[in-house]
Amino acid sequence: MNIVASHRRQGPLAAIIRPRHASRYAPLTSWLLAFPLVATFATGFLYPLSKLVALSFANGAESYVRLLEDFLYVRVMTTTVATAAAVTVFCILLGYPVAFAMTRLRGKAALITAACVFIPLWTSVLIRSYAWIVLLQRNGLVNDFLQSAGLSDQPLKLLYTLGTVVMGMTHILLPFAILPIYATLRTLPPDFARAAANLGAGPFRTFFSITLPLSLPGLFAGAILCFVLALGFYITPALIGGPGSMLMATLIGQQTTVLLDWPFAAALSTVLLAVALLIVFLFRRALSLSKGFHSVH
Amino acid sequence: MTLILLFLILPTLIIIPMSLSTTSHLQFPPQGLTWMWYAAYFSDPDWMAATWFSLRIAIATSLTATTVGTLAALAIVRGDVPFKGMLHALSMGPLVVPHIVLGVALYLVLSPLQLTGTLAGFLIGHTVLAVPFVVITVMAALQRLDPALDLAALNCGANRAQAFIHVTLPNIAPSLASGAVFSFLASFDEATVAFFISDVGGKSIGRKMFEDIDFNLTPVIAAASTVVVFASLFLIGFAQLLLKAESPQIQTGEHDQ
Amino acid sequence: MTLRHVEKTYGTVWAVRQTDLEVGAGEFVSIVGPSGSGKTTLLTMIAGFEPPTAGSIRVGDRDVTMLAPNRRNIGMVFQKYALFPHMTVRQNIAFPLRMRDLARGQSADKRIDAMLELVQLHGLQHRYPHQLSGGQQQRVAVARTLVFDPPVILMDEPLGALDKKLREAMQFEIKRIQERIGATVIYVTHDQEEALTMSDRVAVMHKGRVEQIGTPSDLYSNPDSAFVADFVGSINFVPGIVCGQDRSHTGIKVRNTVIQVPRPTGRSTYRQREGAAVRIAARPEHISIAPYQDHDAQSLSGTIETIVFAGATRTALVRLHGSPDLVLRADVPSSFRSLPQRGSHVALVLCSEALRIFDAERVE
Repeated sequence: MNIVASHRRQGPLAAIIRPRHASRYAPLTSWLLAFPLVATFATGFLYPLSKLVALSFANGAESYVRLLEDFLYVRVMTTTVATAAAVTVFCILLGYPVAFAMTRLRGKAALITAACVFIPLWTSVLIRSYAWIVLLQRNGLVNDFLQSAGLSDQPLKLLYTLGTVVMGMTHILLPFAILPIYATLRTLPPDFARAAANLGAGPFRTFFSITLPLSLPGLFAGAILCFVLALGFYITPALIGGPGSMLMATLIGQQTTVLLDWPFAAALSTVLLAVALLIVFLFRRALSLSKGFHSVH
Repeated sequence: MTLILLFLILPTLIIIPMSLSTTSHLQFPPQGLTWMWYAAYFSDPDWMAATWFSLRIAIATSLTATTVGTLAALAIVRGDVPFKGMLHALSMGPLVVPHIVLGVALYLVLSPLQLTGTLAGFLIGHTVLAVPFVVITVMAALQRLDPALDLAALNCGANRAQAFIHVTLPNIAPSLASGAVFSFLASFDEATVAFFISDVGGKSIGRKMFEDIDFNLTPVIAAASTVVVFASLFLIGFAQLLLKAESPQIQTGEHDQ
Repeated sequence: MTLRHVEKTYGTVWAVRQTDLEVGAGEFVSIVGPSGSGKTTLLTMIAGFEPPTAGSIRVGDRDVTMLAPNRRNIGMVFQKYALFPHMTVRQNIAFPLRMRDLARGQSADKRIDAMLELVQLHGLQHRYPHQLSGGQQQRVAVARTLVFDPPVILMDEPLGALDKKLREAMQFEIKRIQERIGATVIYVTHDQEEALTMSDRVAVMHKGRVEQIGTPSDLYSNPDSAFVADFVGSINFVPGIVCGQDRSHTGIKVRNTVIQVPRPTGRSTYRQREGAAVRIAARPEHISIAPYQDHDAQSLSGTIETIVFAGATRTALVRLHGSPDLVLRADVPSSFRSLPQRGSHVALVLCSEALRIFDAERVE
């Protein structure tokens, strides 16, 4: 008799206001919780981006044709990819040892290392780009040093070159490579390395046959993160790059602020957006975004 | 190793001697020390206007992003909706979309509405940028929290809202607060989107710095930067303390099904 | 408390199949079973954390099947206690009263004091959970559950996180408290020994079904199924073939030996087909070891593999002659003149009165 009674109470309404298990919120509650995000992102994220894409097609595919036909723009695109790749390689090469050291160091050394990684991370990109200008400008510290050391008799042109841009971006993105690698290395049980040592592997062998392969997920996540961020980097190339180091982002900036060619800027942005999304989509497993970024905190 | 660390930290630290140096370009050893660039920063109405505007934006962003992000994190971790994965992916979206693209896109929307350079315009742009940080921190806290705590509260007679207020909220509060700090900084330090959605009437400190670095490089920028860096580090240190305070008390555990 | 035809499915997967269970007031009933047997799911349905797919749950004359968990008034002690980490011991215990708007006033204070007294934690009332030992946390969890005087208390492996010594102490502690206040307890555990020690009755769950419910001694000596026999206590299964049965006994042929097993009384339908493959179930204490020369047509023979020290008794692992993959556990009687040696041949005498027959194991 109770069976019937208890079944009648499970109507369609009950299915959305009643949780399936008390450790979860009911479907209706969940929707209400998600609503502010969906609303904010619809107006401040999805709508603007779709408007951007729409604008890029304002004159049909004309902007895209121009993009592909003009040698200059093709070169900007290849330079952008090459720059991002170079920055990524440098970030990994410089970042891995730091991440590795962070898992091994104790006490004061660990604290100093962590400070060196985290302080720049939470310092504005602008400020760090500015610092590079101060260091590298014609009468900057580096030129002073080179001249007083007799390595050069006149100030060198260190700023506004592609090399400087690569260095500046490497400096800024380095923490983004370090932290995912560190996060993976930290979760590796020390038993693996101990077992390898116990089985007769020297420190060198242990690192290359055990630690490095096991930390590849973090390395990969860091690399993709760096690459995607480098592709769309604006501030640093805009401030310390020059005409010879035009990148996608700076080109977009130029189109919008100087030439006011919005449809073309929109087309460039769409290409950049598509490439970034494509990379993230292809490597979404390796990236595990929230993991990679969580370590940032 | 040491070289890499120096490479990381030196360019950030260099602004401190720069801001105190009497010469307009940095020399080593410095010719003399002065506070005049700080005085210049604090007395320049343009700098002050940009600073206060950015502060207001950052505080408002922090409030909205924390609210929106926390609710979304609850829906993602504890909710029962299809497309949970999509919701999560959406909330992480601003991390992968290049800021310049979002800046241009927001300009296209805000400009015809005459919202460029306004608090409202910045608020929507910066909230979108800051939400991922809140979602990540709060989600992590919720995942660390033993789901049995909520069940225990219900079992003790608390309803859903009471269980959240008396049990879940106090336990994720430190993460929530640090999410708020991170979103404050994400807004205050943001320059690319700000570059596009600022205008003559409303300029964020990021845009102001960008212009000054581009057009008239003076140590006032160094002074402003130093102030910003120290304020940021103070806030981050505060957030780290909060997170640390949270960890020993939390007991984690999964439930046998 | 009564469960009638309670079922739970997740999609097409059965978690709990039609289950009936009746628990009397003041009774201590354990639900045991291996992990995945559905015991925790059954408990969550009683607590109201998830609704059953079908069936009804009643407490007294109240149907609580679809009632929200916070309005059920059923207490629960969680596996890892689920103490609120940001509240002191006292605040934890006061929480159920607060949620019932009963937390203020002298009677509430008195009630909380009484609970602290009951679980002997008076001196620690202002500590936080993480400052307590596992056993103390456990007692706070019990007090928090008892404070609102629920008619039924559920316990989900409450001792699982404690080490063996403490677990045994807490078993007596929980039993003492339960008896003192006459609480009705449903206790879930995977530890059959714990269930046998503490309970008035034990329900054995297997694959979402209650296989048998009865008093501990009932389950031990009269298991209904091979699963129950195996799960409760330790037991040997000896495969054999039915050969000849009379009114009182069934003969089972194990290699060259025929063992006479008494037919269970009161179950006249239980009749084995001649030649059917069956298993004889014998507890280690019902197999005795005799010198090899005593070997006769009624006993088995084997070689001692090893002897395990188990406190009061010793258990011999004996490999049967002719069945190289069959090792039996037999208690070595303390009266045995000298301990049998490893590798020696012995005769195994099965105490026929205590044997049970089950169908041969089907390969599933």
